[in-house]
Amino acid sequence: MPAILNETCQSLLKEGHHIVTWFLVILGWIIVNRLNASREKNKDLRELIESIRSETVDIERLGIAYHSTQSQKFETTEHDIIVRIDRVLSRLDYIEPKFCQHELIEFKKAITLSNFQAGSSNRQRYDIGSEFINNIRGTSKDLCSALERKFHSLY
Amino acid sequence: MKTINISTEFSKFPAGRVISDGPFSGQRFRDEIMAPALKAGGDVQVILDGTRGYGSSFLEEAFGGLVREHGFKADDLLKKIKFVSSRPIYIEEIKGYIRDAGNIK
Repeated sequence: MPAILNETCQSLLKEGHHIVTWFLVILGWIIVNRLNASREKNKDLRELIESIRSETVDIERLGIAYHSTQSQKFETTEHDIIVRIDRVLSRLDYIEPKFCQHELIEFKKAITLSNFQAGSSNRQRYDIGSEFINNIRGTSKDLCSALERKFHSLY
Repeated sequence: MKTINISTEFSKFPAGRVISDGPFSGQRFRDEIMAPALKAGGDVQVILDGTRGYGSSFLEEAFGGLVREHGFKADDLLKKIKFVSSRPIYIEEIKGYIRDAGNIK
């Protein structure tokens, strides 16, 4: 009887050893998998934020050029600015609803609230160092900084 | 509730502040579409989707101008107008113009 008991215990220990080994393998796989997924998510978000930052800088350049010159192609630039801003809106919403909303509204207002889509006769040209142009630069910088801060607060 | 779809009832390319800026300005939208709908009574639903985007000058004149030029109270407008948009930021921007026009913080 003790011999049978001893044999059963040994068999169970052997099986238990296998179970522990498998458990550790699966646990390790789950941890590595989650870490990889998290790294990929961070990478995707980083790329998305970088694309928004780059688009913001492009819109800033277009906005400054639009308001500081008397180009005859202003209607094409107006359309381009509106479409690009709309693209930034959709990308920000994709990250998180209301993501950097205040900063984006201020940036959009700096370019499109005054002297925008005003028709050739109503348009004014601002000096490159004017408060109007500096406001476009400032709000663009605020938006880029807010994007950076949000990224670091999320991850 | 009256529903106004800007892209189908006004233009896919709304642009400009005042009528002299172009045929699809904020002033024209406000005077010919928004104000009459509000004056008819009841709530008004405004669908913002479907256009190529909105300049702030258009939005400010179209909605902030309802307070300035037509004498609507900002509080009433915020209750009566329901905005629909896949870009919630436009809704916030418009509400900001209505609040600013009515000096509401």
